Amino acid sequence: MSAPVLQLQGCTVTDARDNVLIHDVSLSVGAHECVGIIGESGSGKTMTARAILGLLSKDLKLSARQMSLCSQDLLTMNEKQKRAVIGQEIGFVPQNTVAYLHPLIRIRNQIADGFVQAGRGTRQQGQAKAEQLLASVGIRDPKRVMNSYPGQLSGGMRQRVNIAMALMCDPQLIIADEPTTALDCIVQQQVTELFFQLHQQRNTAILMISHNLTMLKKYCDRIIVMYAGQIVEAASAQEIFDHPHHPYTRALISVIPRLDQDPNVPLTEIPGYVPEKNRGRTSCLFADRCAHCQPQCRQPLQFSDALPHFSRCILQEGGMAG
Amino acid sequence: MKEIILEGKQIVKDFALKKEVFWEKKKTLRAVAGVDVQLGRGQTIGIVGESGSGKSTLGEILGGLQNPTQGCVLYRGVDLRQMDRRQRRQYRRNIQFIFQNPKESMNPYFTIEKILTEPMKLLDEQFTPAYARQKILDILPQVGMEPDCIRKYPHELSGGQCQRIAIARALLLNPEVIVCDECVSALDVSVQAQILNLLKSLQRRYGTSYLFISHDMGVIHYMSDYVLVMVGGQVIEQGDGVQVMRHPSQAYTARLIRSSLFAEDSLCAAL
Amino acid sequence: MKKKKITVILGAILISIILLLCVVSFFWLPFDPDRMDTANRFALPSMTHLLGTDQFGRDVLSRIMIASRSALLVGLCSVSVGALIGLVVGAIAAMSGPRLQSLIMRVIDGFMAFPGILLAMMLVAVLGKGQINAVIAIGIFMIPSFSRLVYSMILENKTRLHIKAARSYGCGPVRIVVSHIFPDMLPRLITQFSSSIGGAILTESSLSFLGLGIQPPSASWGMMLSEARQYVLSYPFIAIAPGVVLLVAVLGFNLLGDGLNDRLVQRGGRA
Repeated sequence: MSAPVLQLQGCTVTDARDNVLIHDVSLSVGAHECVGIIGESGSGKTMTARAILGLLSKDLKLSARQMSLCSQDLLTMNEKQKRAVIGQEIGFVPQNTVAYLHPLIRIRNQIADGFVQAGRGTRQQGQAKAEQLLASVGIRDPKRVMNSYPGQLSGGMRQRVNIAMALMCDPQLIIADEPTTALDCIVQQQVTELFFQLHQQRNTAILMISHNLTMLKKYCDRIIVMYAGQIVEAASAQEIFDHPHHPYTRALISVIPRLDQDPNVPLTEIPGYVPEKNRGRTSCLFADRCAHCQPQCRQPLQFSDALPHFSRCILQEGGMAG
Repeated sequence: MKEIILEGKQIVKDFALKKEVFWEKKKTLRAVAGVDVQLGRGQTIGIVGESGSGKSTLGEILGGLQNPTQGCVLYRGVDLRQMDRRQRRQYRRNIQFIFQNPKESMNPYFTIEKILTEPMKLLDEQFTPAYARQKILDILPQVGMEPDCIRKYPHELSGGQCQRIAIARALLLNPEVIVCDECVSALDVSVQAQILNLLKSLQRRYGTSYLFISHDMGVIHYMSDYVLVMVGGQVIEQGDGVQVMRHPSQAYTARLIRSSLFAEDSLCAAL
Repeated sequence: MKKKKITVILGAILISIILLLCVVSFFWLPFDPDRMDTANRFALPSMTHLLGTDQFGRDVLSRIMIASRSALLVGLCSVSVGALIGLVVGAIAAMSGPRLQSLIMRVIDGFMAFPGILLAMMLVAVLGKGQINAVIAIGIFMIPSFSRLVYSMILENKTRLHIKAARSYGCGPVRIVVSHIFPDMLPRLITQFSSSIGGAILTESSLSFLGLGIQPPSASWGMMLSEARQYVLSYPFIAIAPGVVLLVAVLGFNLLGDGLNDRLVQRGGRA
């Protein structure tokens, strides 16, 4: 296997008052790999993406042992070099389809900005390429879309434009932060399908952030489960579903109402709420909501992340009753 | 046949669109195009559709927040437009809402106590400050909240806690119908399950009817006895909840089911 | 952020200078402001007459102090009158149907099209000269800006979810404005209030300068400027003193308004 596109080790983000927002996050995305991050709101999944993209707001502090993109160390670069590398190698698809496009500029005049900025060609070349890309993301009439303002397009169309824009520099990696959450369910499905079609055609690595576990299961090679700013479980998609180790992962799988759910049987629920404070501690953060909590869980814990199936829980599979 | 509480007959709602040029003819958008609904006591009707299908508008018309362009809403057999003051008040009290975004549905300058007291002050004949306080303290444990939260402000609570308060606010008036407009779609899945279970257990206890509006087929399936599928303001399919989910008669419904749970291949294959 | 703070502090300092002049005038004045001392006309500032004397030998400082009473009184009263009426008019317009709404707002637009001082002069011409009439004239002149502000803020707030929720449990329009929207508007109203006082003081001075406001023998800054006009080339000092005081007052209120705007409004107005 070739070197990973993205390698992140021990990434921690704290705010101005030293509250830990994400703690010791390590992940890697291999070439042509599709990795999914799942978590609820406040789990730090978006924060992780922003840390990788260098988009954290100024009052947050980032520290990491290693952060490299295509074998280039991002930690030792200055701001300008970092921008250039990230702009070249990563395409970003946001959640909010509206905020990412300038509302008063035609698509034609903003879609090639990154391309020109990166010195890949002239504006004309950029626009020609954009038209091709728009066609390849399933837009039937690229010329019309190019001449529209973002407000004239539907949410699904805008997200396709965003995806085309992310592909402009032929990036090694696409980071998509809940790319379909703001869309209607049928469009949601189409856009997701499109993503993985592109993944297969272009062999781009994808880091997909979502709260929809079933969607990730279908498309991702590996899944990382985040909770309260930590990675609690990481394994291949099949493994996570078939043999979830961490009680939180198990709960996440079971709380979603399914079609074969008997309406007379109450849904499994996770009591309580995600902890906001004191996330830096090394004892289990899920302990207060966990049905399998033991006295040991309140003590500082150590976990090795060398295993292919990582789980931040003292109970490994089979050790749990039920 | 169950007792019908709320009924909509041939409801039509048009919205005036802005004219682009002055001399244009008036343009309208038909958000709801002739829908019939009958909600019985203790029943849950699920309305499912994509955004722009008119499902929220229909809910607001039935709840009296908007007037229909044509058609009428009957509460216990009486037309809303022909109600006198007392009946109108009775209707207001018995139809309550829970909205999508719990934090935004509460005044940020009010404490939880004030948020919960205000509806009673306006609609409950027996209102006294002591009575209201007692009722609030009785209801909070039922929605899973600690009594000391009444001095807090909405922004001090999490989204799930706010939604519990919103449910408490609706329940305090002992309504016959609660219109749940996308009331779990802004919440995390783990909290969503808590809220859905809570709504179900409250229904069993009080016999409340729900008008449950959502775009999520899984949620609709879990909550509803009867399902309406809406597209472009029209109901294209309706029927018993399990029936519609398992054996949809319309291609659109099948597509909606597939896309909202698009990993459960075993189920999709059956459609 | 630091710069904004300085604006408020500077504004407050300037206003307190004027307030100090006003308060002290009730207890102590260096001279009787109306006593003429013909032997001592056009005296330059000295230890006895701190700001010199005018063409009749009256003490300028005493007259400025006396005039500060009426300036502040007219400023405060007229803006209060304008704000109160503007608030009610704006609220009625925003909460009423489309017809009444556009009728009220077009009238307001009409008022706004007049240059302010012209409107005030016209009103004084109708009502007659004098302090009370100046208050009324300036008050009327203040109505449009307040009503427009209130109108736009209510329209902005009306679509928010918690207002819809309030309607769903039976809040009437008056209650919605007073208890739900007003707290949200308060920071911007305070800001506007402060800035308007500066404008009102300036307008009062202009009216007095033209001889339409406060009548002699009472003192007013505008009148003092007007009297000094004839002698401005030979004795510039008697014009400079009231001019500077007027500048300090207007600048003070404007700075305070600006600073409050940055501190209260842009922070989201929540404590």
